[in-house]
Amino acid sequence: MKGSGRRVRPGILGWLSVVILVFAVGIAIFAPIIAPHEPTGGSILSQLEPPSSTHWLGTDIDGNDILSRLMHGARPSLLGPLLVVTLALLIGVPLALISAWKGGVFDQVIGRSLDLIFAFPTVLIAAIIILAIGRGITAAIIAVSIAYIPYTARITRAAALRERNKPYIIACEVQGLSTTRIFLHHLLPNLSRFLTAQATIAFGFALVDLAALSFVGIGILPPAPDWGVMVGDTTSLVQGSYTSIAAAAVCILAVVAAFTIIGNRLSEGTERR
Amino acid sequence: MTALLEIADLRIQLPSSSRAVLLDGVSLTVDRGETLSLVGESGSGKSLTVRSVLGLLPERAKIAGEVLFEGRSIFGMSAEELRTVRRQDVAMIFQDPRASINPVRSIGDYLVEGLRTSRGLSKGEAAIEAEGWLRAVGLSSPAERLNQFPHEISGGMLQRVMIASAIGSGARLLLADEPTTALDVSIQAEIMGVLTQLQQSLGLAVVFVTHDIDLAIATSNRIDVMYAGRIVESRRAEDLHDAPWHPYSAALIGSRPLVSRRSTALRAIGGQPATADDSQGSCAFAPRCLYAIASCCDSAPEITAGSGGYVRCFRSGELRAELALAVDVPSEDLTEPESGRVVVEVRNLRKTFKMGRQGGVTVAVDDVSFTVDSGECLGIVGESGSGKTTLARLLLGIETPDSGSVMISGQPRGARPRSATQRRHWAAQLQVVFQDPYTSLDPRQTPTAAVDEILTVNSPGQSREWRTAQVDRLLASVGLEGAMRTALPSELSGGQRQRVAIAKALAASPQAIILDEAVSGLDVSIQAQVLNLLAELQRETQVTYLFISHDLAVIRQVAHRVIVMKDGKIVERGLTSRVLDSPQHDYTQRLVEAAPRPGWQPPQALGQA
Repeated sequence: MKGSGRRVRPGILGWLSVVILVFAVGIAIFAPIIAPHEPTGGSILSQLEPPSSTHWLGTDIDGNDILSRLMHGARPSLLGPLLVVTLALLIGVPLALISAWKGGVFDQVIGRSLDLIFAFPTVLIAAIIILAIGRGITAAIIAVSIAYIPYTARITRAAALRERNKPYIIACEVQGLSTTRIFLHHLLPNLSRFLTAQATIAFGFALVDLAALSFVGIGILPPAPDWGVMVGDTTSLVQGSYTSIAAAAVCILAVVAAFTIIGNRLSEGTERR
Repeated sequence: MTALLEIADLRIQLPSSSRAVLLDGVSLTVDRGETLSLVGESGSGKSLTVRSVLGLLPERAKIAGEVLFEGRSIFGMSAEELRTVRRQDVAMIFQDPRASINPVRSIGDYLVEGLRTSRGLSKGEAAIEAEGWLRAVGLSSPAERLNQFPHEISGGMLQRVMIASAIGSGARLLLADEPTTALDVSIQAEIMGVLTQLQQSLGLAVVFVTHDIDLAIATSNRIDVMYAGRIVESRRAEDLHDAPWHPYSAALIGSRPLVSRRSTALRAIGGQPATADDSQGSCAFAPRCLYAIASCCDSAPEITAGSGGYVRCFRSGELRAELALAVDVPSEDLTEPESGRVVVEVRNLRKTFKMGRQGGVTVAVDDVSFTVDSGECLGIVGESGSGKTTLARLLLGIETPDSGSVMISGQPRGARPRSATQRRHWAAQLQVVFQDPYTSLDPRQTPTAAVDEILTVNSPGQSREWRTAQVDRLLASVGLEGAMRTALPSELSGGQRQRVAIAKALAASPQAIILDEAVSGLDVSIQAQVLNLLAELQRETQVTYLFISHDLAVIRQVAHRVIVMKDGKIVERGLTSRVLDSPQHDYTQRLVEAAPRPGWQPPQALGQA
């Protein structure tokens, strides 16, 4: 990235991660076109078929094509974390900037409030949200987003504080720039790479957390196609077939690993001097 | 007898990089008990040269030539042999002692471990020896020091601990890489005193890397001047100052300010330091050399030997008389500007900070009052902890004083106001240039964009054409031309960045500018350029300067009047020439005496850090 000092050196793993992500996003976008079958509404008559030329990965307990469910499942599995990370950034970053800039009472109040949220496990937050708005993907996304706000705000505050004490920001103040201008034109652009790196890592975690909520049955509800739901498909397991579970688990693993690796590579690039 | 250390035609090259050649045929010898100084600006290869003695070279570097310690090749040694050399024969101390010691282990642990590995002493013997060495480097109550941790003692004391550890190992060669650069000048004098004394009593050989040519002359037997990965001149220390043979040495001597007298104008070296890489097959200094002729650019000059030294210059023979004249810079003290209109008025300023939870209070600035006129430069001198930086922050309005007032042309200076109009007015009162040019610019903003932004904010309603013309004028006034104007800070050198910072400060058309150690991070040749530029800008615009510095020589060069600060208080004030020539206060006297200058010697008595 121009002007941010060190260049990112992705290495083989980094490039492999990029390929995996491009592939996953491509599948998610084109799932309705490229999926060989419908992801739901399969026939009991064709349940638990082994892999064949019509069903490359076989079928699950409901007779749905596993490959098609994986492809369609990529959509909520990727879109969910994207929303989570966006929401967490939208709320967490402004809180962090105000906290770092104002210091004192602001910092204390914001910091302690975030600690309070930190104290609640994600599942508990999800349970509360579900009580308020009912089960489903919206509840799961809101719950995970809330759980991620303290995390996002905490690391952003630390980075903003480091940046804020650099002479160039003090020079901006002395030169009569408004706080808004300093935030938008100087502080945020110089934090952008750090934030991108952190968001990328958080994306992977959010994917796992959302899948976990689906797994325990309070996120996306079956039979909707989703990797978390598929991992939670224990009825197939009882019948001795774990293809569905394994395939979804591999997808989650690959995408999360790819995000984490890219995030780490990006953040290595931000550690200057 | 073989020399203690011999470096023969050392060439170090990186396999593929824009600055591939780092050292280009460096040769030197150090005898037992001798002190050799390597002097040069940053990037000249002086640190790399001493590191090569310990085999501390960049990975993948291609190495040619030899480094021989007592006749044995360092590059030919096995890992085990090299370790033995590092443990017992050659010791090294660095610029920042705090960065080179493990903070969670006590001083005693550190010394004892070193003594045990280097000399095979038992724990008890090592502890007794460690105490002795701490006494030898002049630390008070050495027995108690052994139980202290690095954060409990000052940087000067810690550097003494590093010296104690280095000589305690029984090393015959000490490599000192800018060992006093991070320390206050009075501590520097003490450390150099300790080093010189120990070196004489132990017969230790020292290779001393420094950018300070006066310090080198005062403390060493021989000086090798390095430029762009080559030694351009090698001389006896006492010969170099008055009769340099190489134009670069002469330029180094002529470009640095002195505490004892003020140069009429510093002989700044134009341009930027070269690298060994872009000067293959020519004299590296030729593009900046006042005496360069056509053949300087056609081939690299070979060594010309003379009595007691050598030089690499085609014209060394004919230039000797001229260079001797060139280093004899005429001196003239500054005269007070005539205006007499008070711009900055500080009255009874006081600032305290709470320390820790016990509610202890440190007084950072204590009852400070002074005025500065328009077109005048007030020097603010003090060592670390004297309160000069807090004073700057109070003046700028970044910190709020406990009591007292700051007025700029009769208007009070407060914190940054909320309304845009008031903010513009506030910005036009006072601006600042900081020490570190690497962090004082937004890394994503080009010089043009940075200056344009300040104009946009501070002169709303002006047309884009007007702003473009102003940007052009401001950048030209600090000497930034062409591609530099649209380069990112990472692509500019330290001196160029500092010019951008000055242009930004000027863009708000301030009545006064605080220069907070604004040239301390720069090489002498670049420092001279910036000091000359500042003086010129002041003559043209009658802007007022408050020049904060720990460096008395720089203050002598730029300041009409000076205030000396210690523990938050002003201990002495007056005309710069008067204060530095006949200091009245003990503290000022100590500061002046500690500043290296021709004929200066570090104090020999082992003082207490």
